[in-house]
Amino acid sequence: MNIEEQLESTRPATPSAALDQRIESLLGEALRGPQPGSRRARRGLLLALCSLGAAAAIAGAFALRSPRAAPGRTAPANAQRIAATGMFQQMLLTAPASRRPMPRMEVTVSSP
Amino acid sequence: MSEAVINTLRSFYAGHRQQLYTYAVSITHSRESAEDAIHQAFERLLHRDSLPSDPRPYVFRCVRNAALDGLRRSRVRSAPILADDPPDPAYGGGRGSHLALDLEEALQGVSPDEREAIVLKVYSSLTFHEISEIRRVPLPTVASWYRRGLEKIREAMLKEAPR
Repeated sequence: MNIEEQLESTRPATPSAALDQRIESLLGEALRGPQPGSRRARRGLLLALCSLGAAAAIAGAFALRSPRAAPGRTAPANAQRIAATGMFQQMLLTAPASRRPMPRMEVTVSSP
Repeated sequence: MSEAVINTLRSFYAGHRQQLYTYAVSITHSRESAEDAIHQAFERLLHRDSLPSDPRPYVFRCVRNAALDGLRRSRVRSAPILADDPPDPAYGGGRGSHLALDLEEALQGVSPDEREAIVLKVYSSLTFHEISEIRRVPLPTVASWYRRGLEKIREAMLKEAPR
């Protein structure tokens, strides 16, 4: 008997029934529904959506606290506040009477 | 994933479970790791949209890759490639156990490439062409691994003979 035949005459180790069961459940699960990989992907998508939601909520909170969004700070109030300290009070308080462009304003600064 | 792939894999496993396992054990040297490798390979294969018309080299290659991944993760004690249960009378009665032990020892003594070629050819009944596809090496290289491995085993068995 040559070596090849001798090798063929021996019996190789057999896999356990547990492996058969694992493979069967893997294939059965794949046939029935989503794969563990897809489940992972879905979980990742859900996590991304949650993060996006949280980021939107934080951005919203900041927007509500911003001076523009604060209640009571309407345009005239802002204008008055500016007017109280500025030198163009009249211009800020009165809306332009027509669509004509405002005259060009030149500011000259001269150092003492 | 397609139902066709799942069904192909199911029937492939049923027909090749022994060969896949023997091959995986010959790489991992561990029964547990071999089973994990096969499971992992099938898990990966499920993500494929289709399989080649002859899936044998492809699936064996997937099992090989998974087994090598497992081997890189952990170095383990050698497990026998051949059955270590009482010899089957169909395989030569009482002599079978001694022969199997000697062959096992001789198989462990050859290089990994030679062992792979022998295991795939003898226990998985793959052709040299299929083995060369799995290993992505030219066919003559596989044939040379196989012949060299057999020669080493023959020499080892001759040394064992006077015992």
